[in-house]
Amino acid sequence: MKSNIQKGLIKLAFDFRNFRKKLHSPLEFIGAVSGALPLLFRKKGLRKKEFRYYLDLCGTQSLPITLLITFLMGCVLGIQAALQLTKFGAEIFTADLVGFAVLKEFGPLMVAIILTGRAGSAFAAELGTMKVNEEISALETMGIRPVGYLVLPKLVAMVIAMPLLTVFGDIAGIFGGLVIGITVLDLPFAAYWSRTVDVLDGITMMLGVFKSVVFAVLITVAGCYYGFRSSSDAQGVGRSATQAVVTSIFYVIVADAVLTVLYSFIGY
Amino acid sequence: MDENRQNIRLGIFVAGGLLLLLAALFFLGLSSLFEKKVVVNTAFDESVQGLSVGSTVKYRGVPVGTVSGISIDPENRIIEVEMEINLKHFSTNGKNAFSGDDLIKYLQNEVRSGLRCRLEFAGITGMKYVDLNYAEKIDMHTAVEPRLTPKSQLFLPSRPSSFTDLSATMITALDTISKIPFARIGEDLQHSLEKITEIVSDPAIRSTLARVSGAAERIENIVDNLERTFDEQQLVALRNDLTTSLKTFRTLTEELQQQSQHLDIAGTQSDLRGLMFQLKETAESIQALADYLETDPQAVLYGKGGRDKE
Repeated sequence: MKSNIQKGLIKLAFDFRNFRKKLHSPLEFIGAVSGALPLLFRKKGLRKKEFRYYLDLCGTQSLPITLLITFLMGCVLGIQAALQLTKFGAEIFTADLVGFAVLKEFGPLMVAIILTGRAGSAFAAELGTMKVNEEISALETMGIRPVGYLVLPKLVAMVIAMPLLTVFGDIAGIFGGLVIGITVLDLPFAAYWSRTVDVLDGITMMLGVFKSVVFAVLITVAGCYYGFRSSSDAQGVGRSATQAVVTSIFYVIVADAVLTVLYSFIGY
Repeated sequence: MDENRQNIRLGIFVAGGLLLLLAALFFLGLSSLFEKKVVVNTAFDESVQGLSVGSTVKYRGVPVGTVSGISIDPENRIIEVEMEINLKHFSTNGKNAFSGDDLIKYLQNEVRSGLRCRLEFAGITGMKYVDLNYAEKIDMHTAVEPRLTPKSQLFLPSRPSSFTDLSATMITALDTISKIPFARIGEDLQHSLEKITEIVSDPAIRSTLARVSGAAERIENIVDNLERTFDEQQLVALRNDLTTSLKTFRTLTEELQQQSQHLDIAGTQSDLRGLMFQLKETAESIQALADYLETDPQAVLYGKGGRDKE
């Protein structure tokens, strides 16, 4: 008869083995993507047509919804800040709060969440469908590495589109706060604008843009990983899309927290 | 065709995003890289809590630069602060901006006129800024020896912040208050109160107070009676009559004196006797009048019988 301690140890060993397997798979995928990066420097390494398609999907087509959401988010931040700061006669500091919150946190984060919904799920569903249709197996049969062939255009498009969308989102968010400052708080346009320009700096904005680059990589890798892991049936495609979205949002928020702490070490 | 449209859309998106990024960076501080600045430094012999790199530097309330560096001088236990002053804020008639040398010369002159750096609170948040303003009393001796940092072109002397002044004043005030012998004052006060209680409880004082109170009541009654009897116009008329009577009496007395000097005593003795008799009668009449007036004061105004005649 095995004692309870022995049973516990055996269970722990199995759990560890399963965890290692689970960890092994994403790390293997990240390694494959990294190994495919040198293709970018080859003449025909990046498929330009696909790259344009994904840049259009992730960037241009996502622009209106990004502008709308970040503008509304700026308005909400402005109203909440105004409600509290008016009590202290410090309405003008609404510009500080909205500016810093949008540039450092909410701009990149909201764009990441929008693109997770639009692009991350699309990547997972697309690759899952290709797996169902055995197109990925066909690529491997032809000697083409699917990761480099299918993931790189998505990754590059996301890394370019997302920082640009973040810039658009930042401006829209600040504009939202500005509208609230002028309409609700009766602040002069010049005063709000002057305060915003005074307190914000280029480095703050670039730190937010850098965050968006990290988020872009995470969303693409998570989306493509769950697409490749999709089981070969219709339900599996749906599940992989869902998993891609949930995991991407989780990774994005964890990365945001880590980057925020790192930024605090350098005084931002 | 679709590919062309897609390319145009992508071009607009990418170019627009990049332009927006550059514009935002320009407005949010990139433009400051192209602005001409002068680096000056100062030193504070107090805590600079709330001051940080990037804090505002103001000249008489106008933001003219930022704090670019804060360091500690361990030997002298002072805080050295380096500041970048933007030249564009200093101009003649709003047209010709100062050059770096112009600003340095200007600041050197102003230091002689009392320009000093001072830490001030920027608001309720505890953040501070460096205020360049003029001291009311110029004290050329500063606690901190002037010395330049490697980047600095001019040392600006500092003076204690208003908070330091306030705390020093409070300390002085508290020190003065602490010297007041409150215990002794309390004892004296208690002693005085006991004495006052003792005096107030003396029967003689109580009796005096009661009499004073009675006298006051009687005076009030007299005043009431007078007010009922005379109005203001009547009093004025009575005073005028009395004045006239006194003048007449005085004239009469003088004439009597003059007459008596030239009087032939022997010849006028009988006249004098008659005069004396008349004077006696007059005195009796005045006495009778006075008696009558005492019983009926209204007779002065209304004659004998008073208002009854009316």
